Amino acid sequence: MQPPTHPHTSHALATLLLASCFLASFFLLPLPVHASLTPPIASYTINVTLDVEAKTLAAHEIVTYVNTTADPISDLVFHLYLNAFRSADTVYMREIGHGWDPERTGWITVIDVRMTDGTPLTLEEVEDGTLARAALPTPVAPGEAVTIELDFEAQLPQVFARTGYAGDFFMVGQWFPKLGVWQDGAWNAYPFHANAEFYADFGTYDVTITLPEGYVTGGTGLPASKVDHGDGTQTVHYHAEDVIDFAWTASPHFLEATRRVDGIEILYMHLPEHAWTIERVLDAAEAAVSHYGSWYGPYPYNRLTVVDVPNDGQGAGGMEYPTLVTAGTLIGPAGARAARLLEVVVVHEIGHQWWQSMVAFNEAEEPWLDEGFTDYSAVQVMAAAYGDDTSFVDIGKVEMSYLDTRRAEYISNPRVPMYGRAWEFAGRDYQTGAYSKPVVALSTLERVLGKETMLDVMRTFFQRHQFGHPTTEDFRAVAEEVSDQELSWFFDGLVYGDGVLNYTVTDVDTHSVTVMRQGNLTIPTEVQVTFADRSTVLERWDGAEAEATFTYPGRPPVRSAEVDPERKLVVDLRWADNGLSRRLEISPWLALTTRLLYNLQSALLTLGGL
Amino acid sequence: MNGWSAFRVGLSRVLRYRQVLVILFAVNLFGALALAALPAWGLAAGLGCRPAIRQAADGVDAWLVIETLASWSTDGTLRQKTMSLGSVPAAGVALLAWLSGAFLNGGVLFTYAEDGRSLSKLGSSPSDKTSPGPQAPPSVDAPEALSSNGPNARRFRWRRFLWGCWHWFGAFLLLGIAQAVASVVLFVLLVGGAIGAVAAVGGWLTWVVVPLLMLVAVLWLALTECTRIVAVIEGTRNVVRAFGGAIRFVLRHIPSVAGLYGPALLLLGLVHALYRWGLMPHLPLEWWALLLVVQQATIAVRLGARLVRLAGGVALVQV
Repeated sequence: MQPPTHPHTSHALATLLLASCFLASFFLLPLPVHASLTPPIASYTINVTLDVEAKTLAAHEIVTYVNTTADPISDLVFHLYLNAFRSADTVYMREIGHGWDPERTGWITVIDVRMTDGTPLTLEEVEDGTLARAALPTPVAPGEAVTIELDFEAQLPQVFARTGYAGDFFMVGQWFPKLGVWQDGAWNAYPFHANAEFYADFGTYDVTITLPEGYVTGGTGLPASKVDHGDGTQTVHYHAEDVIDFAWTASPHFLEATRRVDGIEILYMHLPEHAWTIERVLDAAEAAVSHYGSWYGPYPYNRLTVVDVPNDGQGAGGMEYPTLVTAGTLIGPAGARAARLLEVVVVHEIGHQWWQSMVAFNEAEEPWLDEGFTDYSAVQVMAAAYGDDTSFVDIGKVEMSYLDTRRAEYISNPRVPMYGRAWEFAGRDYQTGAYSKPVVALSTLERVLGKETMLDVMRTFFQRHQFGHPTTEDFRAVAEEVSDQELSWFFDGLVYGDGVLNYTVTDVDTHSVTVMRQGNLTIPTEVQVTFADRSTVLERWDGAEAEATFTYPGRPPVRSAEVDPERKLVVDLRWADNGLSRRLEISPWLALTTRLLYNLQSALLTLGGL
Repeated sequence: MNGWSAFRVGLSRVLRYRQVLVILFAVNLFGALALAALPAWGLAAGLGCRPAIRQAADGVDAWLVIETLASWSTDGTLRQKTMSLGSVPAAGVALLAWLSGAFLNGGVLFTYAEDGRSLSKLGSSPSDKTSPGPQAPPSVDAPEALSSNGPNARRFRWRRFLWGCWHWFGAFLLLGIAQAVASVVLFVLLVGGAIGAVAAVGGWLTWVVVPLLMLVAVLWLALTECTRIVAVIEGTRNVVRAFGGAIRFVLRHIPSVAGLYGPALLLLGLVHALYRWGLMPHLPLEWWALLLVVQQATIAVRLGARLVRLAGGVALVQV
C-alpha cells in the first residue's frame, strides 16, 4: 500500500520534483504546446499524490488570480466540490435524494492556506461546505495579481456522479479548491447543486500526479514529462493553457488508440473489454472535431482525449472537461448496434469543447446555453455523419434521427422555459429546459432563418465570445444582428417563456380552408392548399389570430391543405394534424388495414395454430 | 419411419384433405377480419383524412410514432380511446386463438389419424409408402359410422371432422391454458437465466445461448403438438397422460422428430423471409390489392406448413 504523502513534509520534495519535471519537459514534450490564446485569470500549479488503495489525494496547490475587473477584491471564494459527497445533508445529496453511502463518502479538507510569503490565511466553509472563503490581508487592486498556496487532502467517492473511483479506475474531476468567477462586484459561486455544473475563469494549469507505476494516465492539456522514481511510483506532469478546469484519469488497464484529424491528435483511452468501440468512437470523434471546427472555429489545442469508463463506473461517463471527455458503453455491442448512443455521447461531449470549454457559459445560472447549444450542434454532426433520418437508429425500415429523440422528450413535457438556474428546474423539467427544448427551439430557428444564416449566427457568436462568459442576451444580440430580424418569438416565447404551439388544419371545404393555432406561441408560417386539378397555392399566415380561413371562390374544389408543409416548426407539438384532405386517403388506409389484418392473422396462427 | 418420410406423408395428407386447410384458413381470415374492423374504423376516423397517414403506411415513421406516444402519455382521453381500440383486438386474438385452436385441432388430427388407420386396413397406397403398419390402434371411442372402413375412408368427411372437434374440445381447452402458462414460465426462466449468464460471462456466450434457446423452443413446440397427437391417436382426453406419452415419444424418436420439424420450420422461415424481405419492401402502398393477395398466400403457406407438421407427426406416432 502506498502511504499518503503529507503535503507539509513533502513540500520541499514536491517543489524539487516539480522543477525537475519542468526541466524534463523541455526534452520530453510529445506534442507542441499551442500559443496562449487568452490572458490567464485563474492559474493553478498542483502537485498531487494518489493513494490507489485508500482512494485519497494529498496535494499542494498554488493559485494565482489576476484581477481583470474594475473592483478591488478583498477575498477569494473557492469551490470544494468533493464535499458534496461527505454527508447526506449537503445541497447536492438532498437534491439528488439517493446514492449517498456512508461507507463510500467523498470529501476535501484544506489543511493550510497561506500567502506565498508565508502569511497564514483562514479558509471558512460557506453553507454546506462546498464553498469556502478566504479573506486577504490586502485587497487585490484592478490589474494586480495575488498568489496563495493551499495544502489539501481529499477522499474520492465511489463514482456515481462524474468523479471518483470504480475498482482501480479513477476519474478525478472537481477535485481541487477552485476559484469562483468575480463578476458584477461579487463572487459568482454557488453551493454544488445536483443539476448545476461548473463556471470558472480561463487560466494555465501545471499538474504533477504521483501514483504507482503501471497506471496509465490521461488529463487536460498535454503530458509534459514522466518520471519513474524506481521505487514503484511515477510522476506525470500535465500542462494546459487557456482552459477553465483540469481533470485527470488513471487506470492500469487503459489501452490507447489515436487518430490525427486536422492536425489534432485524438487519443482514445479505452479498457480492454471495450475494444469493439475503438473505431466507432474514433469515427464519431473525427466527425465531431472536423464539423465543429469547420462550422464554428478550429479546435485550438493539440490533443483531445476521450476516456472510456468501466461498466461499474458509468457515472463517470458522458462528461466534458477541457480537452478531455468521457464516453460511455453500458449498452454493449448489441445495444450499440441498435442505437448510436455511443456516438451521440462522444459527439455531444466533444461539442462542449466549443460550447463550455471555449465559450464558457455560466452552467449554473443558464444551463440551457451550454447543454442546449452543445446538443443542437450534436444533432447537426450526427445528421451530417450518419444521415438526416438515421442518425440515431437505422435498422431496416426503422429509422430515427437524434433530433427525433429530443423532440419526443420535448412534446411530452413542453411547458417549460429554457432560461432558469439549474436548481430551479423540478424533476424532468431540467432535462427538457436544458437539453430537449433548446434543441427543438434552435432547430426551429434554423429552419425559419435558413441553414446558412443560422450557421452564420452560431459562428459569429462563437468567434465573438470565445474565451469569454456570454449570456442569453449576448446570444440574442448576435442572432438579431446577423439575421437582421426581431426574434421575440424565439427569445420571449421559447427561451424565457413556456409558450407552446400546435398548428392544425381544422376544415377543408369545397372552396375554403380553415387553420387554427392551439397554444400561446406565435410563429409565422405557411399554408399550402392543393386543388382538385393538383395546382397549389402557398399562403403566408402570421398565426396572430387563433383561427384563419382562406377562401378560393373561382378555383377548382380544394383537395387538401397543409400548414407548415416543410416541417420548419420543430416545436409544433403535433405534425400529424398539420394537413387535412376532403376525402379519406384510401390507398394508405387500405395499405395499413391490410397490414393490420396480416398481423392479426399471424397472431392467430402463432397462438392457436390457425 | 424417419422424419423426412413423415414430412412427405404429412404433405400428401394435407394435399388430400384440402378441405382442412380451407376450413382453417377461412376461420383465420374471417376471425382476423372481425377483429380488425374496430381499429380500422378508428384509423379511418382519426387519421384517415390526414395526409400524415401516408407516412404511417410507408413504414415505421419516427415522428408519427413519437407524436402518438407523446399524445398517448399526456392525453388521458386519447389513452382511453386507444386502449379500447387496441385492447379489443388483443383480447379477441387471444380468445379466438384459444377457443378455435382447441376446437379445430381435434378435428384436424382425427381426420389425419383416421387416414392412417384406413391405410392400415386397406394397405399402403403408392403415394404413401411409409404409411403405418397393422399395429395402429383402433379408433377408440368413435362411433361406428365414423370408422375408417369402406370406399369413403380416405375422403374428407364433415361428420368425422366435427366429431373430432367436439370430442377433444374440452381437453384441448384445458391443455391450451396449461400450455400458455407453462410457456410463459419457461420463457421467463430461460430468457432471464440466459441474460444473466451473458451479463456474467460475456457477450461471446450469446452465440451459445441463442441456439440453445432455439433448440429448447423447438423441443417445446414438438412436445405440445405431440401431446395433442398422442391424445387423438390413443383416443384419450386425459391430457396429463397424453403429455407423458408425448415426452416418451419425443425422447425415443428424437432423430425422426428433428427430421420432421427441421424441414417444416425451415419452410416456415423461408416463407417468412421471402415475404418480409423479398416482397414487402418492393410493394408500393398504392398496390394494396396485390399486397393483400401476397399476404393471404403467405398465410395459407404458413398454415399449410403447420398442417404438414401435424399430419407428419400423426404418421410418426402411428408407427
